[in-house]
Amino acid sequence: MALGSAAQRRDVQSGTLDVGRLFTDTKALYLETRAQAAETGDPNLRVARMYSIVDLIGNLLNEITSIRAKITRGEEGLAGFDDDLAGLKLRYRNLYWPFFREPEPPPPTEWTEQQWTDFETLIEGPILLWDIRTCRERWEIHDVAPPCEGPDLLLALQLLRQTGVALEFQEELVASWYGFADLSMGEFLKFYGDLGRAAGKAIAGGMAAIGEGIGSYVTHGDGGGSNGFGWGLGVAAVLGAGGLVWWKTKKGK
Amino acid sequence: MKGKNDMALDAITAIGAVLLGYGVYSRNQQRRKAKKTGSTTSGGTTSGERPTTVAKVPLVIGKDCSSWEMPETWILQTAEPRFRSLLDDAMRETGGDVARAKAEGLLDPVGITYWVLHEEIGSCPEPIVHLDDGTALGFDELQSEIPDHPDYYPYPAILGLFSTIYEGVVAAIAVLEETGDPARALLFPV
Repeated sequence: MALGSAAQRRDVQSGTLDVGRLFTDTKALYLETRAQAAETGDPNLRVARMYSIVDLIGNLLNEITSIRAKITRGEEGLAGFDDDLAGLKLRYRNLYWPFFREPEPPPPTEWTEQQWTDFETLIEGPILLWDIRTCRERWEIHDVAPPCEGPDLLLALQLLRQTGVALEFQEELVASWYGFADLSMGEFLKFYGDLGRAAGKAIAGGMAAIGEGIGSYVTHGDGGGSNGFGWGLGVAAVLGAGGLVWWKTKKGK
Repeated sequence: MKGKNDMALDAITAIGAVLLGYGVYSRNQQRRKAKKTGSTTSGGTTSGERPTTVAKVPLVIGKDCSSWEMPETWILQTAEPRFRSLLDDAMRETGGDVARAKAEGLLDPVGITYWVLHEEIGSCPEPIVHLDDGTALGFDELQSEIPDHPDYYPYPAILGLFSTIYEGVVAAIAVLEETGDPARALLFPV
């Protein structure tokens, strides 16, 4: 089954498809490919696969953003979700996508040692191979984007799953309005407010459960346990496209 | 149970096609043209505990209306939902007919821009000038360089903010016209 398909994305959203397993299998296949690229002396294979993952994350981000725009009830539960999504979008916009496009790098067969180091530390590691602790320890471009919060491919899949949880609670909330047509406006507003707060708590709880479930697939090593996954990202101001180029210039790369 | 290969991402399993794509791949990417007034990090949680309530992140408007920052979270929490609700309303009212929605003014990018930024620019005056003849000039008709002209508005940064949102709206509506799908029409896609 293919994640690129709408069916598979729906399965991720609904929880039918295990996000942690999907990530782990993808990572294993990537490592196989990397080994194969080394054996055959064809680095294009390795870079192209990572590029495809970056492109996929971009598509997922747009889809998640679109779904988020439809979630207008129980937003109290989306605080961490919004921060995580904003951080991932900034990393994608300022780092991952520009790495391949601005300016477009030469073919991998012509890459310098520095370009390979950048590929490993700016792309491969934070997207697929590093855990949260490694991300935080090795992240050196704070001016460009907020540090990764675990492998970013896993975070993207987790966020898609979380939209499913949030939508489910929102639908339940809307359904619960029926039968209250006789309430006065004041009573309705109180009822509505209570429900919104309850939905917010429920969404937050549901999302925390997802984080705990996924935690078994990643090593945190920061003493924070699985609850640490994907949490606690600050809100970063927009740096805009070109941040990577700026950073490289600053570093004299 | 699905096998490993079955579970893996399409982008991985269909790598042959991607190989062709790398290096020649290009797409028109609608990039944010947000003005950069700094690269700061603020707020958020650091202890691993999520707050149970959330105050929406605001646009950051300079006290003298001379600068602004657009946090990504503001886009997620305010701009995109407002824009999406307008698109959904327009599609609902016209039975999904984008051309009709445009003809009826439901997708007017200037009006949508004002709505997206409604009460979001702090104490700065809204960029609209009412003329003696009862008409009004919108942000797209104002200038900030020549005082005493009827189309003068003194805060160029605010005009820039409105223009930034306007460009996102125009691009998103173009996507809507092309696809007919409001879900794909984002103000600031990555």
